[in-house]
Amino acid sequence: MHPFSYRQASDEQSALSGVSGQPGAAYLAGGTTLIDLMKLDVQKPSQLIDITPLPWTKITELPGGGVSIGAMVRNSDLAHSEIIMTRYPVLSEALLSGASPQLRKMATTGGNLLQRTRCYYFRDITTPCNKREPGSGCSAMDGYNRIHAILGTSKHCIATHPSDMCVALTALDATIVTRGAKGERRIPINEFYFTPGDHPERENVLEPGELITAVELPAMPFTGRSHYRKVRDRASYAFALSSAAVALDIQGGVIKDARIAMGGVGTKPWRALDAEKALIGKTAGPDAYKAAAEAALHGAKTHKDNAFKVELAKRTVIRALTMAAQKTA
Amino acid sequence: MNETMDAAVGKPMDRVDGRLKVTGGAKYAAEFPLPNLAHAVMITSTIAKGRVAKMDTSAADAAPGVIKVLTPMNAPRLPNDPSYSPGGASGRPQDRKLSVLQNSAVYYNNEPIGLVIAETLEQAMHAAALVQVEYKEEKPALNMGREKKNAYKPKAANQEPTDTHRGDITSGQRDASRRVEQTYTTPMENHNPMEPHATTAVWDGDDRLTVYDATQGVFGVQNVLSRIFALPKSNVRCVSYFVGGGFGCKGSVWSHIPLAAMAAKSVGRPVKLSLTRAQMFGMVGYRPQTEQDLMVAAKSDGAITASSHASWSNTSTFDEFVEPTAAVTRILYESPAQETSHRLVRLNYGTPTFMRAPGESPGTFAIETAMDELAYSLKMDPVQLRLRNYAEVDPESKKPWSSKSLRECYKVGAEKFGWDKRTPAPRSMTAPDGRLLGMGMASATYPVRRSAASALARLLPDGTAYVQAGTQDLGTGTYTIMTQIAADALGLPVERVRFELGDTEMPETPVSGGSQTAASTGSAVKQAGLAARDQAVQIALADPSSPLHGMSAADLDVKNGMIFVKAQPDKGETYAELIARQKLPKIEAKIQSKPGEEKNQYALHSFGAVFVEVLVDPDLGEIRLNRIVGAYGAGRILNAKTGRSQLIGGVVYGVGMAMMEHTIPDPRTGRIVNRDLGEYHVPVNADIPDIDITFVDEVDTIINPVGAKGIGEIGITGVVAAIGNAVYHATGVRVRDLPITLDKII
Amino acid sequence: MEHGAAATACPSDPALAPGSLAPDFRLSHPRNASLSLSDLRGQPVVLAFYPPGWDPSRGEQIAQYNKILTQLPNLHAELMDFSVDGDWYDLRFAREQMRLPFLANPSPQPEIAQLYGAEGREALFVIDADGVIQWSYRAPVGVPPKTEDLVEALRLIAPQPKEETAAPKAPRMALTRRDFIAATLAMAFALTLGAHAAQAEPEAARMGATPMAPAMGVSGGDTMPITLTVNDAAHDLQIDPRATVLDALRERIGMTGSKKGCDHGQCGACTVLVDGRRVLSCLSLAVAQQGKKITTIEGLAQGETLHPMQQAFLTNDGYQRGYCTPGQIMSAVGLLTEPVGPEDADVRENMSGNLCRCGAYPNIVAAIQDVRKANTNASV
Repeated sequence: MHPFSYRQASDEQSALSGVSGQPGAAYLAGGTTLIDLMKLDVQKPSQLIDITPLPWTKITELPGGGVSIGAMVRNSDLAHSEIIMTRYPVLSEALLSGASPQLRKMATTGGNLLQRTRCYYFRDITTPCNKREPGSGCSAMDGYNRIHAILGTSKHCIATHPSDMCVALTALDATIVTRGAKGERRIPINEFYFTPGDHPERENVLEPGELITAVELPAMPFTGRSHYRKVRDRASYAFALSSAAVALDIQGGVIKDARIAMGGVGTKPWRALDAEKALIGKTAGPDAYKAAAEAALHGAKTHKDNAFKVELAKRTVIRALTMAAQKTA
Repeated sequence: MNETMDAAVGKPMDRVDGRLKVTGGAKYAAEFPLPNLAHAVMITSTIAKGRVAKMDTSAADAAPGVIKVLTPMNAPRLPNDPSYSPGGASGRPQDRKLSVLQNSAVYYNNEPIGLVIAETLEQAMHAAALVQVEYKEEKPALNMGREKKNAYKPKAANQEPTDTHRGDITSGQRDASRRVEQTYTTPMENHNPMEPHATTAVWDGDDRLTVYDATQGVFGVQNVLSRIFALPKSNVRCVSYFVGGGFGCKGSVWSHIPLAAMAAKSVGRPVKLSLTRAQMFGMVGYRPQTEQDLMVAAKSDGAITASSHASWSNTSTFDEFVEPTAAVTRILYESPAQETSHRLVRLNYGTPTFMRAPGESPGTFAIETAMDELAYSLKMDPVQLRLRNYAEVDPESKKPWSSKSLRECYKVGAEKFGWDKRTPAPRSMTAPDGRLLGMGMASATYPVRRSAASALARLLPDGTAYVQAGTQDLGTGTYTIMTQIAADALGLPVERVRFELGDTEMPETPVSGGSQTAASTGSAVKQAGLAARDQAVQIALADPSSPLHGMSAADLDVKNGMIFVKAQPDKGETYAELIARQKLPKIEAKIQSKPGEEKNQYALHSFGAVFVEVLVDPDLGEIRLNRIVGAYGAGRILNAKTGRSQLIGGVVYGVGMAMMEHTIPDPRTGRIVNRDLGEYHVPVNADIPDIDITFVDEVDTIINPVGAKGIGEIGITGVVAAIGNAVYHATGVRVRDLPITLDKII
Repeated sequence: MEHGAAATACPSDPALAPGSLAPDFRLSHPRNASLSLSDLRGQPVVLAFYPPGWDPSRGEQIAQYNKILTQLPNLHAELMDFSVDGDWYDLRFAREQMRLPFLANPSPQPEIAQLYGAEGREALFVIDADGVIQWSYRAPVGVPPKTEDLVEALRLIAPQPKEETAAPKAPRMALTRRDFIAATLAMAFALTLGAHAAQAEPEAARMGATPMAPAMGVSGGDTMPITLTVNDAAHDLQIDPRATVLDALRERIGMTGSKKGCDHGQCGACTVLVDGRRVLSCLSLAVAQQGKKITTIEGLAQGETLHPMQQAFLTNDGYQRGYCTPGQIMSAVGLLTEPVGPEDADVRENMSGNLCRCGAYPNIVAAIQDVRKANTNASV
């Protein structure tokens, strides 16, 4: 691990001022991604601003019926929060399917949004990686790529976004609230992440020093009928080969509205808008789900070891929709 | 020598070292607080073949806290270089070719090429990252399929013959009505004990070396280090009180051990060297990948008429290890005609090594899957097929078994499992939740091994005893079972016996591998205990002041530390009284115990049967184990509690092998891509269902004085095939390439 | 500093603080005349307490005694064995038919350990010639004090070396009381520091621990002063910001119960409780834990009484190699206060962050369920 200096931020201002104008500075929250990557020398901040003392630890109801989640709310606390479990079960389920109990106790909401890929080559500084070192090449493309993405890839990067939580937030149309030099910003999650394109090193819209303060979930009357389904190589404590977060508004057996996002297959938490469109107005049932799954995987591009993900992802979407439909809204 | 009553042996006694383990007090190799300790961190290669052209250590040298950076260019030359020299590969674990900075050659990725020694761990790790390495790279051989044309025949397959041939295969095949011919493949797998390899080395002057090492064999470490550093054996001491898992990878002396000693010597301070998890993928062995061509032919009644098992596995380019997968096919079933062979393919990876049931684990996967395929082909029950071909004697050597309870294992296992409820057709059973239900079974087996071992038993004036043997406890319960054996032999309650191990200052014992510790060291401990007890009895008989004076030893027994007259149990005296009156500091016996002729006269094996139920999601392909039942005939079980745990552990290891374990090299660089526990999957708690273990009663008076066959490895055998067979039964998909992951069945 | 820590650990015992008179007690021995602590006035004394129970590293200690004893005057004997007998360690010698008692309390007579607040743990008291406690250390099992602190304390109270080269011939039992105390001191030293303590020249020991000169900027040598509260004891450390809680525990404080299995949050062997929540100490920076309460495996037992979870692991054989065990137990203790369903399947899922390569999972689940059932019954 490269040397760094450490400082605790006492409040928002001291956090922002600690990082502004310091290109090597980084915020430290739960540490589950950052410390891991620092040990691998993938990230080498020269200064850590510990933001865990910041008071964004509350989950509060918003006036319009939505919910605001403080950036420092730990994943386990969020997952077990009554309001999340009843109103947004998909989020609770996604969180509880991620990582391990210990990691969930550490990881924060804000930090989870900024989780980095588990691509083997990104995590190994001895191999080329465009995300880590722009222009050095992509080792995964012709390497071992069973865990890699099939949606949103570019010729420069096929790394998968690893988060479960973010998939649920994407399905829920969450808004990310930030604070930076230019004041507060409110960013819809679907505009928060970049696909790799020509610049895999740019993963999201955050400006240097900009700090996530909260995540807001909009009021959505049908999210009680939502579900997260994760498929992985062991029964627990593994990243998704494929996952789906879905919410269904079914009235009289007809789908009025739908949300579908996928994990384990995209270079970012993958919102399947076409699949949602394919569902709306259809009778809830296998045919509609199958059509949606086909639409969701349209344009998927596979590599040597991950071709199976296309079919697996379709089936995951179908399963998630089937399970969600069985819930009472 | 009198046989003693068994008061302790067999009982489900809690581990004597349990309290230390649950309080964090058990000290592992990296946990000895030595004054003035320096920390070493290894630098490893990032290419698979070539040589180190240049190492720029200037930044590391200048980094804070750095004491020394050792490279192939500046490392001290060792008196006896264990590096590769052409033609020098013997394949014996004690002769491993090591990478200890004596030259700049690189034979595999992640090979040791340097060492940073610093005041703190953080400083050493950082400095190691500052070293710039330039290579002269050559094209490595990384693909077994591509290199198979260059396969060669090794001199032996472990301790077994490389090839065997009996009967007439062609006529056997002609007599058959059904034939299965398939290729089964298994990938590289890594042991991944939870405790990383670690060595703490301390020099006392120039010629006395002590190492605290995470090892399965302290005497092996002593031997190799004394040879490399040209020291008398008595000047090298290896200590290993607790080992956080080995499974074979800590059975050899690997490069880091002499490197730690070299580092300590060159900085004149104690040095601790722990491998990172990533560094455990290459330099400390792994299970090689195998390709196994199986043929089994049978008549319509199921009688096997011919079989063959041709096996390929990879070894390194500079040393040799054979995964003897076909050995199990030689002994498992009657087969009048049979051919088996082992071939090796040299690849640019580190040297593979023994990994829990080497040979038997991938071997039983192949033969026991082929048997399942044969059963389907014959429309015969898999258990019936195995019974039809039951080997009453060792089919290869024709020697009788010292004991064999496999028939009983099939029976007990099938009953406990409810095998009779199975409908044979694939996809014919479903669980209430709609998942496909599959049931599969397989046979398990492992040879019985024993080596010479020594032990010391000492009765003390306070009526307690201590017993020593320089063996290891890998969590196998050695501390506990040896205490039980010694207590019974000495006629003492277990609370008054202290058993010590893990130190070359103690009597010599073999490596804890091959499931031989109970048989080897256990026999020595028993015989030493009996000898000390007999000595005490003789002293009492000869002492005119003893109430036992003048009696005959045959009339006496010892219980609870009291020597007494069998016919008159209140007549006698305690060890303590005897020793006090005699003014002795102790009564002791040190003996060596060796195997006899039994191996030449009998075939020595454990057997078992394992039954597995899986539930498979019909769409998503997720395989979940529902329950596992295993029945084993493994001789005497010395501690019912720890014995059960060991079998459960073996089965869980098999679950990993069957369903997830897979060391994945990058096809271009030979660098293991999943060299961490996040991506090298081993089973987690949620993967493991109820595991029901039964030991069938088996009394074997031939194998060794304690009657134990060894249970460290049999648990992993068979279970892999049983899982695969259950998955086939559930889904109709036969996976012949491990691991059985969901992408292979959707 | 650890002696500060000891004082913090037992605030109710001001009588044991450095500077106070060591409480007197009488040791009785079945075969030797009894002896009071006050009888030893006039010479420094080291009192060593060890938890009862079996420990294989005693073999290591015996080897050390031999080394130390060969350096002592008037004693030319090979040590054969030592055993715990009442309040004494009895040492037996091969040639000399002689037993040498050492002041040590492995506490079959718990009142002395109680008097010194040392039940079930290692403790060390350095008492000067006037019977005043100069330094004390109390820690859970397996946690030694820092070498340099102890060496310093010993130097303060050790008798000045005298040129006593012309030692009288060594008749049997010729050991003087002064030798006895010197040996006691050396013994305690050896017991506490483990192997090779005898080689540890105080200067050398201190050299390795000399803090780096503070460098400007970020150079890798910078350290920060922090206080880590571990098992209710405060540890003042000068620490590299890069040090994780795990490395601080294992390499600085000397608490090696928390294990390093992967160092990347992938195995759970390093699990500790921070403010009661189970977290991974390998992904937590030590500098970030100020003001938080860390509980490790060494802090679970109350004196000699194991925590119910420790006892359940022991009874259910919830381990084999024992390396993942501290993490499993800490995780299991953390689980007890979490919203986890009653079924075995719930426990399995919620213990899946702790890998066990020995495959002790079924026994681990059984152990945890035993404790949970007992808790439920107790609370009904």
